[in-house]
Amino acid sequence: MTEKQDVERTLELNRSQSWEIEARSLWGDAFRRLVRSKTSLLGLGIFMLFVFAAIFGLALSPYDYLRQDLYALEQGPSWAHPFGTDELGRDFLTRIIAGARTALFVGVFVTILQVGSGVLIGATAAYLGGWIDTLLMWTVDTILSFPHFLLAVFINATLENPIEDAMIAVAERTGWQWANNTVYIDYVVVFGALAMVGWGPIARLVRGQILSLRAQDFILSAEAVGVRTPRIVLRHLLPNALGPVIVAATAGFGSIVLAESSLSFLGIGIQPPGASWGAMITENMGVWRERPHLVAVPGITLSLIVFAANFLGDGLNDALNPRSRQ
Amino acid sequence: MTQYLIRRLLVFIPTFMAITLITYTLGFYGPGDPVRIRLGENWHDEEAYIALKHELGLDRPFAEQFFDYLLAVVQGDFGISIYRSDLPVGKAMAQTLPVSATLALASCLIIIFVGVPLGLIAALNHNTWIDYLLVSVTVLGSSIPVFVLAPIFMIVLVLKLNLINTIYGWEGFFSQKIIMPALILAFGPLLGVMRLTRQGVLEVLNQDYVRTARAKGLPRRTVVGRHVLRNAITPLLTNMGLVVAFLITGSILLEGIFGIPGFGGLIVKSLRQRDYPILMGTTIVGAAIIMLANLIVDTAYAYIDPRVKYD
Repeated sequence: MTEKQDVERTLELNRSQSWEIEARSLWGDAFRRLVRSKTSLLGLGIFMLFVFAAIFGLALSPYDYLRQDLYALEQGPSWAHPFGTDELGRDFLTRIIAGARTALFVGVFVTILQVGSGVLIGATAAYLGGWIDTLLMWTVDTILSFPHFLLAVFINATLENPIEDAMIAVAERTGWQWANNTVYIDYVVVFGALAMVGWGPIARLVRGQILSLRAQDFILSAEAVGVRTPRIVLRHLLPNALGPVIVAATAGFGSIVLAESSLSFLGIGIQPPGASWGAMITENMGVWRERPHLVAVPGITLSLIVFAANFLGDGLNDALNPRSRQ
Repeated sequence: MTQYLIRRLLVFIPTFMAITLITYTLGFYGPGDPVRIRLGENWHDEEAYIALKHELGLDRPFAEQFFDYLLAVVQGDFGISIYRSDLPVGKAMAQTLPVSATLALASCLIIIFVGVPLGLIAALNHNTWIDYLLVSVTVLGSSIPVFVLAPIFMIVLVLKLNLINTIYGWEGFFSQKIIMPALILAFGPLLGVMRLTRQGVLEVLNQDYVRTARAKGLPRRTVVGRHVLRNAITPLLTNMGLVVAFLITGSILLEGIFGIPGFGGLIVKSLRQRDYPILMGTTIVGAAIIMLANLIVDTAYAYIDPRVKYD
């Protein structure tokens, strides 16, 4: 064996060892704990399927979710249309997939908005303290004393006009035609309403995390040996505060998807011809006796996604906060 | 205790004001111009516009209008519906709230008289198939929203089993028509109550005083009824605020399906017509109901559980 080969083998060994060490990190451990639990694996599986369908489903489907086929109105399930067609002759499976895209889109965007503003406001309250802290937390308490959905409904109804005006103005000034599209306006209204209702618990959580972490010994000792604040925040505070926030965001994802469908069910969220599972239930409620699958399929799909998100949230909670387990 | 109550009531006032402020601000800046809507087909008549705006007091500063609104709200006056000038918002709510309250009462009866026994059964048969079955139903069922349960119940009970025929409409508490909506509304909270009861009973079963009661030869019924259940269901109270919030949300989503003329039905109808004065009123009243429920729960807690002390 030449010396060069020897060196290469040693390097190889080192590399595999360092990989091993990396997998024992916070995230590696968490992932291993996550896939060990059967229920969270099930949640993860359903969730991945949902994300895949939402991203690639419409490209794979032979139908367009908006195209009406007047020769194929109100068909029952068949090989060509596994879930049949609706009263406008649109393939119902493709509509369901388009609904998945809406749900994923709203879920991801609103989660980002909620977590972003929640972290910002919670961290501000924790760091500044004093009357700003009191005021911010009192605002959170006040918003939480509204029935969550009732407030979302009200904000959705009041945001509609201002956002529509603003987006049409944007379209005129910049020439971006998508801003003038009613489907996108609906999306922005729903984003706004749900984000404004839901940031409170995250802000409260982040504030509590930061306050308790700052009093812990490892932060104190880092401060004592003169580690600079940005490094403390990035290396010590954030990784430790992130776990509970990720858990809350995952668990919140399910309720955001649910809230979007509920708003659309009432006719104020995503409007036709946009696709939303909640709106599909309303649209087909008139024919529940004749074609019950048209209300059952979107309903069961929605429940399945919420269920998967909850399981995944529970699993992540066990994986990322192992101390919280009884 | 009295001191605690007074303090809670004192916090109630600024929170209520803040709720009204948030609602009023959204309702003030959000929708289109209420003066134009009221003018109807004369909406382009500028003179009439200015006159009506002055008459309605809408040309005054925001703060002044808000405090007027707040004062009126405290006295039960929520303004008048935009589209029906003969319909005060307060009256519309007073007509519809009792209907929703009746429905909520029916649901609460189902929640308590089905949820608590089921939780008790699950706990007493801990780690048997009965327990596993009930727990799985809780896990699966609690992620199904009301507006999905409604069609599923309708398909199963009406189409497949043919148990109920007339499901639309409202005839008060003592009628067949209340069964379906009350069942659907109760389903989610019932599962929650069942889970909490099971948890509570399991905890209490391991306590020393339960072992003592058993050891001195009390019949099983007395042990469970007197010693276990009483102590196990106190934690349920804490979640009553959540149940009330759920019932309000449920009534918004459900009453439209069954054609029930209740509070939620009023909200949905006003939503379709964009009747903002009614929407503002219902939002404030909904929030006030939740706050009141939480206040009652906290007070009741002290009476039921002597370990809880308020200083």
